Amino acid sequence: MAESEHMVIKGLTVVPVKFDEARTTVHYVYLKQHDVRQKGGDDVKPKDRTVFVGNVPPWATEESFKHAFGCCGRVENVYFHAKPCKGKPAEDNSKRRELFPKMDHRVAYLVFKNQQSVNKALHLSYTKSLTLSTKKSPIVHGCARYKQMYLESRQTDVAELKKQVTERIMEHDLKEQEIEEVLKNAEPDDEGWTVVTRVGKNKGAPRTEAEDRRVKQKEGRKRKRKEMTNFYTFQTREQKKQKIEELREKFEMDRSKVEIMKAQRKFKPF
Amino acid sequence: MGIPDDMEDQCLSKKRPIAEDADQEKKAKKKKSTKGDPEMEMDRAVLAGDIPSLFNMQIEELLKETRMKRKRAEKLAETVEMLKDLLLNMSSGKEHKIHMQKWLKDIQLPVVQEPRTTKGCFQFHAPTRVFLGGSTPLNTCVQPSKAADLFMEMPKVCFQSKDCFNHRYTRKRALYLAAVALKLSKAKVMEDAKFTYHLGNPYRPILVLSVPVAGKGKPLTIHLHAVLEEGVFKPSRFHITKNNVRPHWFCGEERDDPDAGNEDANSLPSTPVYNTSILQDVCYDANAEFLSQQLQDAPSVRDAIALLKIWLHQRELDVGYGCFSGFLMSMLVGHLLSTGVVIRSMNSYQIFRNTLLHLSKSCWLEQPVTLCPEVGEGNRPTLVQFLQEFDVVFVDVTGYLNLCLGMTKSVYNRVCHEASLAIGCLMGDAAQHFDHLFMVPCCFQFKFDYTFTISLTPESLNKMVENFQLSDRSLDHSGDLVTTVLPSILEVLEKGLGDRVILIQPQPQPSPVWPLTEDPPTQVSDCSLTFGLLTHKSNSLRLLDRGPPANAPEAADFRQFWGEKSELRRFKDGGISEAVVWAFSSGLNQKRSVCSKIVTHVLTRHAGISSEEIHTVGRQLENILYVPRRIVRETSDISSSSNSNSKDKKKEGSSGAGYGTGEEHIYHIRQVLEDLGKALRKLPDLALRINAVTGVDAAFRFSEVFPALPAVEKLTSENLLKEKNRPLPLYTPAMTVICSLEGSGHWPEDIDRIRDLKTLYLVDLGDKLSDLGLKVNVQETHVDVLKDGYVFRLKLGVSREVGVLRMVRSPEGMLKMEDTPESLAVEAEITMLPEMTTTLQGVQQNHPSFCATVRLAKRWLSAQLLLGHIPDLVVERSVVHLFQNPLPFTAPVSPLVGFLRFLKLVSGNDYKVESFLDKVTAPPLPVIMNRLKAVAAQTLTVLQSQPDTQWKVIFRPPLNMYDVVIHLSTQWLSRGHQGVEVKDVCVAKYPEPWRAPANAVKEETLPVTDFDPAHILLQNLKSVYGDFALFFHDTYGGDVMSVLLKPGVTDPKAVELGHLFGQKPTVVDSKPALTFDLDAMVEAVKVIGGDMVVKVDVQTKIQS
Repeated sequence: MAESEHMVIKGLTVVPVKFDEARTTVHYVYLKQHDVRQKGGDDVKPKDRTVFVGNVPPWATEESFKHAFGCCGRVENVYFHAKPCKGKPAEDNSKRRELFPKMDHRVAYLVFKNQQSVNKALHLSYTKSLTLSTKKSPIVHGCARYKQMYLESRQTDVAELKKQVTERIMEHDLKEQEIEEVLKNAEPDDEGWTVVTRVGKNKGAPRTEAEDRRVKQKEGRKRKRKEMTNFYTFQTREQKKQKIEELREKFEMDRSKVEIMKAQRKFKPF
Repeated sequence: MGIPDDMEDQCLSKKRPIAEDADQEKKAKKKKSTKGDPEMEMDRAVLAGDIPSLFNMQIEELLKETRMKRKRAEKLAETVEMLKDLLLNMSSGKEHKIHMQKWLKDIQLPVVQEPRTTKGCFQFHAPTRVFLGGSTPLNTCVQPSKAADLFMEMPKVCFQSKDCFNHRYTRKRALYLAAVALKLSKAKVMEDAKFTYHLGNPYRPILVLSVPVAGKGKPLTIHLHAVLEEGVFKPSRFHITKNNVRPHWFCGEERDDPDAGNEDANSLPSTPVYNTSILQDVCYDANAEFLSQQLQDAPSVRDAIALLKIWLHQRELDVGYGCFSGFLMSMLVGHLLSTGVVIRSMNSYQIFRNTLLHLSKSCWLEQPVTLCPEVGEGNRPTLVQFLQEFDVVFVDVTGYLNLCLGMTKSVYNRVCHEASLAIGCLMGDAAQHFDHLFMVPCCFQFKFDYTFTISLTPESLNKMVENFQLSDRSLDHSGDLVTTVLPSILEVLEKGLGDRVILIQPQPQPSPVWPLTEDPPTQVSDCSLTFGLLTHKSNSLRLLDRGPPANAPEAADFRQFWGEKSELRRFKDGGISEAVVWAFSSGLNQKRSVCSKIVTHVLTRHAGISSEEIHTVGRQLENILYVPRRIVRETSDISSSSNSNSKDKKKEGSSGAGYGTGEEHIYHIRQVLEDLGKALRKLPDLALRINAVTGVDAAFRFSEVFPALPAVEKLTSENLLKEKNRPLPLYTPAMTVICSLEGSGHWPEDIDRIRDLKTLYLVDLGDKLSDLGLKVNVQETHVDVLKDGYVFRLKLGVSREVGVLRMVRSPEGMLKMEDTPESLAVEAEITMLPEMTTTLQGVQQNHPSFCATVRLAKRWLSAQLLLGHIPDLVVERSVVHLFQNPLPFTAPVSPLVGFLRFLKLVSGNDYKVESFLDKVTAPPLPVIMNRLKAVAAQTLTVLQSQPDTQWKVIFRPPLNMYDVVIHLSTQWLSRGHQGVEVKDVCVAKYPEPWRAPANAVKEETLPVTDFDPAHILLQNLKSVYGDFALFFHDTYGGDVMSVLLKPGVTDPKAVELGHLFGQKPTVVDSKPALTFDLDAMVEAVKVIGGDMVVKVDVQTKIQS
């Protein structure tokens, strides 16, 4: 691999990839050494052994990347993400996924076994493209893939599901209980403050919006009872004036409406 | 008067309409001078309740807009003066025999001369008087483009007393017009001159002049009428019961003295139409005098007449022969003024309203109106005589003339019907009055539920005249057979259709206009009549017409009318009656065809029109909702065997294509759900009881285009997926059903735990259901259950879930309830959709055609590739709007007219999609709405121009505007049978019933559910390239996916880590940059689609 053959724009190495041998159209991916600005670094993706890949083809799989970039050295792990990020992809523990998952990966991280591989990868050729789907490890697409996914999705092990869910609930209940326990036995701290919670001896009023509104309404009603209307002459006079003002406003509004309609040629019936 | 003064200023400063009386202006000025403080004035007005409402202001603007502008009026006055001068100074001509017309050069006489010769001589003399008449001087003219009526009075000397006979007068009148035309064309004052018939009456040709005006502006159109000088004929000469066209002359028999038969004139057939046509010339002055007297000093009356004319014109009621003309309306208002129903001091709106109210309650068919107090006295005909000769009678001031010449009952009924609708309009939503009354044109196609066209040939017309025994009438109409037979056709239709229809209406034909040098259009060889039926929503679907009891005297009549269709039947009440049965299947598509069957039968039997000559318009459109017959046959076994009703079973089994438009099928699915719901509610030992079971799938609210067919193993088996080259299983949707659980305080406050508990509940529910013997598939969020061949997807409705999702804790620790996207989505499913289901169910109950209409609309939208971009609920709400707010129409009864009005609604400028949205659905993109408007308008033109043939055209979307077009393989379309182009017997894919291979494991439980690879592919492509392009696909078996790149996508971008996706490197200004990689996208489509994609066409010009 000659040095001159590779292309770098703004620090990104451009590498063409294609689906399989039979195809000619290439898809460009952009390679860069992984670099974390935040403190603490990235345990899963060590800075010196990881390559960031942008513009991952939507049809690519983690497996196929492992194979294709194997030419630069052994790939330990491949992570697909929707956005550049650190750490592992979020565990989809709820399993409440859609039947057919979205193809929402856009970037990938290649973690090589050796540091040298990174350099090799960053010097991949611009003229020679990598092939992702090979005979040895083909990527299945098209209707066949959808059929496969459908069949998988229909074979839910109900007993297993039940077990998992029950476990989760138990776990949660236990946690809740612990928290409750702590809250209940809340003792005054060093300065003598006690946290008021929904449990325990001195329950405070719930801090919700609804409660707030209720209190305000009550006060409003009290105020209203004290007020007097239609008592002084000036009040009736004001009322009348207000009514006239309202009517006038309505008239003005109507007139402006008509003007708008006129502008929209709403008065040409034919 | 309380018009505020700034308003007044406006009126004065702007151009006033012409001929607004001078004293009127004076009055206004006076008013202004007495006005004091504007504030005070306003207050007074307010207290008197006298400020102009929005409606009044709108009316004022409308009148300003439609009346002739002052400049134009001045030009008209100049032109009229010039013409007057010319006409009055015309030199007299030589005397010619009437039938000798060589002297007219190449101008042809504007009347049909059949028979050619009539006695008498004609000599041209200049008119005695030329004057502007009609609506222009009365200032009731509403269209600036419409013609001004100029009248010339033909002098006495041109006529002899016997000219009243045998078309002599009408020919002389035509000769007079022709002579004037000849002289005018020599004078070279007009740009163009043509002949037309006044209100379509072939006895009354007029000259249409188009006179250029000085300076800018369109040429003025002037209608030149010829009327008679007073005293030529006595009106009694044209008494409607008299004969003035001798049959022997008309039939071409030679007699020595045509007038010798005077003694037996009483026995001759009367010629009321001929007589009335001439009377219109004779009595013109008297009526014009009456009108101008009534309208003197009454600007509000004039305004009201103008409004009424706009109203008439928008309903096409003032078009053609026998129409409700503007003149007639003016005379009616005159009549109402004289009887005190309206008074001059009323404002224009009040007069408008009272006139319509009077019309809506009038019954001129029994109680004719007369302007002449001495009607029937002297020589005048009596009202009874009038009623004998005419359908509708409105006697003029002289007492001789019926102003409703040629008006059929149906036109009069239509006017009354429209008037009562208008009154309804005025009582409804105030904001909409104005548009509904004056601005929305009520075209024929949008008004009527069914329209059909009869093609007529001279032979068939002659046959009809014979059948209906109308030779006397044909004499009266001087051989205009279409006009002659029309009332009789209407009569038999009315009798045949009875209470099924509210209105039967022939489409009005505008008067023909022809050049001077051509003969007037005669009975063309292939003319046609179009009729519209406004049907009664339930009566029109009746399958059986019960006649009189067998032994009653009317029975013979009934048998005679219906012919071999009539048969004796025993009814449930024990009576034996004559009856006519129109269909044996209760399918809605069958029921909807009853009216057209009746029309065909009645016309064939009584008018001798063969069924090939009757074209019912647009019924083929419903075919798009059919599914291929073969599939129906395969699936009908299941649906009928599952049906507990043995009667139904027989029906569906025998008909084979019992699916029809699928409406009954929806009812069936709802029935199955109801059974399932009962079972669910009764389930024992559930942690929480199931309170309610509501279907939220479109099928349950009657808006699923293709309701699910019962699953058949050989068409939907899971094993079909396992074998590589097997065609896909038939699409079986999973219909979502919400099971609302009883309330409980024990739900946790953690959303994930709620969901876990729901899953546990579902597992339990699944067990219980399979104990009942139902096949189920349990998933984390739902349970699919198979009942009677349909798959229902049960989800749990827990209102607590919404509450928990809405809980948001503010930074201060305050617990707030806020809508979040997630909470809205759940709320939509468990609250909004069930409500929608109930609403639409109610609409369907009231309007049986709702279902087919909304499905047609959706099918069309989908075929135009737009359904994915416009939320279903928006479409449904729009269609509901058509049914619930039908004004100015009535609620559609046929799906076709419903669909047409839907197209009109969405193509209109006033369509605001926002008003059909809810808080959950996102509004469609503007580009989509523009596209919708454009295709809807185009579809309307196609449907209106060639409604019969090629109806599928409207379901074929144009593809040339898309950037990329993806062609899908039909092999992998599980909904292929729903496609537009599908043939009736298309599913040759399954030649043999599928047999499980011997080694197949018997593990499958449900049919393959909700598996539509094309749809998944679309979702995949959207999620990958959704930022760059819009993807379009016809959900219902479309084999094309099209792609529209978003604007600006192809612009080069700077190299940035965040914008790498979908880009390829390029060079801009010798600096590296990125640009959109279209080739890679096309490649991705090919790869992801795999064998599903046959071909990808890149059509964009922006090649990368």
